[in-house]
Amino acid sequence: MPSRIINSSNSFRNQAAGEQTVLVSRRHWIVLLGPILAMAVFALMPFFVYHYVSQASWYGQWLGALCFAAAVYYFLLWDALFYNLMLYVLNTIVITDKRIIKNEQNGFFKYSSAELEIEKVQDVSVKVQGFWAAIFHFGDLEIQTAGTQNKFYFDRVPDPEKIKALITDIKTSS
Amino acid sequence: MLNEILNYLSNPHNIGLALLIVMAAVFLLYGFFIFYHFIRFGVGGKPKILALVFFIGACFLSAITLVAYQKVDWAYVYQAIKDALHVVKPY
Repeated sequence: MPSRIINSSNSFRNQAAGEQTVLVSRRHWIVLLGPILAMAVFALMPFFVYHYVSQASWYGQWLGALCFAAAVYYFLLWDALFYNLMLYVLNTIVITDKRIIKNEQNGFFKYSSAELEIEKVQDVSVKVQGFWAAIFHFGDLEIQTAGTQNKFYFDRVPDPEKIKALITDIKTSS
Repeated sequence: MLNEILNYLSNPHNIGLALLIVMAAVFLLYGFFIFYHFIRFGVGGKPKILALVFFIGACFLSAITLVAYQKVDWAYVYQAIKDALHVVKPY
């Protein structure tokens, strides 16, 4: 049994009988920073509009309509925020005791999935580039395989060295 | 049929209601897609928790939108839009 296996109950589509999920990883949280900051800026905009519009003579008559527009605006922002969260959460790397599965969701109707048997892994390499990547411990993981798709590439994954060690452990013990 | 629709929409309150129904349909569809993707394709507990948070937030914002809709003076808005269109008309 590999030393670093973490028992996980994360089940997924097309999981084979007896196949045990070892790790489910997503991109580092830092990829969400840009969209969340943008949402925060957009969320403050109605307050700026209020600051300028509240002095106008017509403000009282249009207050109801402005509040309705603001409610709809925040509803739109809420949907946009969770659309970005959905894309983040559904882009996963699932490592089981038998294979590595890469799920990519790029939209509501744009999805791809690739899998690789652990036995076909030939080489795993890690690339950490940049100041923020070094500080927050994220990087790119490249897996060389013996299959038809000879490279698996995962970008901006957290703790890529640990994932590399985990894959090596599983391969050694299989 | 078209005349009936135009007659219906000539009432300002009905314009507001039609707008609300169209927006509700769009948001419902969009929200359903997000919720469905979280539940159906999410691996592990995190997507399910996010789906719950999204659902609660969407219900809360729906209630606020409905309350805000009730407070709009649609007759005034309709008249203001008509006046603005008369101003921008070239002749």
